Amino acid sequence: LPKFVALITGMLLAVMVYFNGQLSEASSPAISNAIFQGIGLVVFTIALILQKKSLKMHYFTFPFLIPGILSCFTVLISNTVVTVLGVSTMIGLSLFGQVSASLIIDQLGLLGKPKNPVNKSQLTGLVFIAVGLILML
Amino acid sequence: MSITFSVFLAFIMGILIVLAPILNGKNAASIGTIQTSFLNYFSAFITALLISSLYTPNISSLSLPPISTLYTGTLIGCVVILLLNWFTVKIKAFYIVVLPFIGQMGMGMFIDYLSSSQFDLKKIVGIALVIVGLLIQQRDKAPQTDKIKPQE
Repeated sequence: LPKFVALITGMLLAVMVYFNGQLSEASSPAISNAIFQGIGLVVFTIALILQKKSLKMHYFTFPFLIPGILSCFTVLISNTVVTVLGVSTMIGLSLFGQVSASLIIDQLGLLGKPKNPVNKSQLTGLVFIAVGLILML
Repeated sequence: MSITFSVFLAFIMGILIVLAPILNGKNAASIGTIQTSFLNYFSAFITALLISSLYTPNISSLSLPPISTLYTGTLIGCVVILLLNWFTVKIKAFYIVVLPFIGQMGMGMFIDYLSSSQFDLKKIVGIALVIVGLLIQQRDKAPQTDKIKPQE
């Protein structure tokens, strides 16, 4: 069942990206992003209250706030680009970015991750992805 | 927006998708998962408001679309986080990356087909190659779980 749920989650993500794109067209990518993040904030505020977790002042500092800023730009880009490229091409390109970034992080041991040199099959995989993307564009 | 610039942005988006969970994962280890998710949305929302105000200087002229199916995406986003948290601890890292991606591509192709009603063979071959590439790339990865999460 977990594997099936993983597959369904991916399908839901594609639907989410599509609807966020539609909301962007009806308002704007920036507004749609703010609505998306606002609803997430409400959900996790409720979760904090229900789980009786407290927040400390030092949480509101740079290291804890940076990931959210990155997430914000992720959704903003997705909202902007999905209407131009379509769902599958955008997801494919973002995968290429994800794989490239992971390989660089592993190769150099960045962000506290252990060094893990890139091997041949990882590069072969990356080439397959790149060729697939060129066909999709 | 030009296609070339969109392609570039989609690539950058992929990099951001890798960075945010790594940083969030570190934070979660030190202050807790729910606190980290809260802070993630907190700073994302503040940043989103700042960007929106730059785009729409006259906030009073702002009209939100009525509550409708358009908001489905935001609700799905919340469900997806719950599902991710549930299955990531139950299956191998390989499946965490590959299965959601296959689901995304399959569904993405279907949605693109519905909105364009064109069945593009080149695109299907492209998607197949991307999936094969991902399988090769992930196959003999070290057991460490550097998760590649799709959209949060």
